[in-house]
Amino acid sequence: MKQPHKLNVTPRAQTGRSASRRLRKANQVPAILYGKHTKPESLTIDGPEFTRLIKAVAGSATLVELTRKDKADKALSFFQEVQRDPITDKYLHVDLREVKADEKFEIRVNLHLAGESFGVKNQSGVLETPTYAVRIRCLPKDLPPFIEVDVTELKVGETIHVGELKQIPGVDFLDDKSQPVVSCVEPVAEIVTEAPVAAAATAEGAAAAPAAGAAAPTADGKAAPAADGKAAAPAAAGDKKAAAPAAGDKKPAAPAKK
Amino acid sequence: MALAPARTKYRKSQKGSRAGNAKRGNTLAFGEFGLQSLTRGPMTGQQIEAARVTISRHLKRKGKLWIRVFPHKPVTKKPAEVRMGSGKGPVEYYVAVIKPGAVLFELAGVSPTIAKEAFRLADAKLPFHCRFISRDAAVV
Repeated sequence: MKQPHKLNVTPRAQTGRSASRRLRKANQVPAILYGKHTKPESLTIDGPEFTRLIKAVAGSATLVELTRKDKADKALSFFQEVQRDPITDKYLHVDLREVKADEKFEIRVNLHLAGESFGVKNQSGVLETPTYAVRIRCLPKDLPPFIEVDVTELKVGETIHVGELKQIPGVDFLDDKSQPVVSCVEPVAEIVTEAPVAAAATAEGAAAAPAAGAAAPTADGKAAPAADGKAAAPAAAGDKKAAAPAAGDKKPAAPAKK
Repeated sequence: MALAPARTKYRKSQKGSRAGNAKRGNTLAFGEFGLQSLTRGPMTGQQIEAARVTISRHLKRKGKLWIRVFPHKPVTKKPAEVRMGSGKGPVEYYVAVIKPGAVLFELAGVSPTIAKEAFRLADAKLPFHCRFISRDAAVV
């Protein structure tokens, strides 16, 4: 086992939004430590120290040894969740889960793709990664920092599933064995957007059949006024409100011509 | 061709509020890299399409692109030389309301250098300050 990283924490008496905000203002990060055999404990971590640690472990599963000021014993834990502000990227809160050295635990570990795929290199394929992390169960001493997936032999049309991942001694994969991890597919020229656009074009042809239907835009994204008027006509029978603005659109056009 | 809803429940909508930050859709969900908005405003279907075309051309049929926003909101406009009153104008185009933090596009299957350049070019088509984000920084 790789030596766990060390982190100094202090117990925290105050909880809640206001107290947490005060902490963040003082360059501290609120945290909580919980586990199967321990009571949840509110903690505070020094902001710069935590940032340094996070940068050092960047994306790899790691164990952290917590040194608490009020307790002599050290707690072995891992980062269950790290909350960040999506815009400022500041750390908002950290969930630490305590584990025992002699007990198996579950953790999500990132996948690292190794090598260049045969399909990408020679068949101009595209590598798709539907799964970026897998759930595993292991003892703390067996925890791998990441799971390496060798993709060098992967050809176009082939997929590596969870069941085909290289077995690591002492590590059980918990995800479904048929779950795809990485696949090499043929390149697709147009993706995602074509379906809604085509649907919009057909809707325009239907001239917004429902009374409260939308004025379908034309190909260049502008609403066709003639179509708008036509759409209002059937609406007039059932829905006066919907018909009124459409009729109003045409009226002011006449004085403008004078 | 600009993005637009196939059909809507109501033809026209009110302006609504653009306050606050994006509470959903503010993290990478599919790809390795993303383009995240740092400012707020409406993003038209044409702007989304322009950015998409720019990214696709730079990728040269490599990688996979996800568009995380869709222009659901209709915007109306009165015709030229029309006096005020007489009701709301016809629908001119559709927009997606973007708040700071929203992830606009995601990419996978390309190198960080290519992804960065593709998003830089796409950013030039958009009325927002955007930044490049990647999955690397995320902690399990």
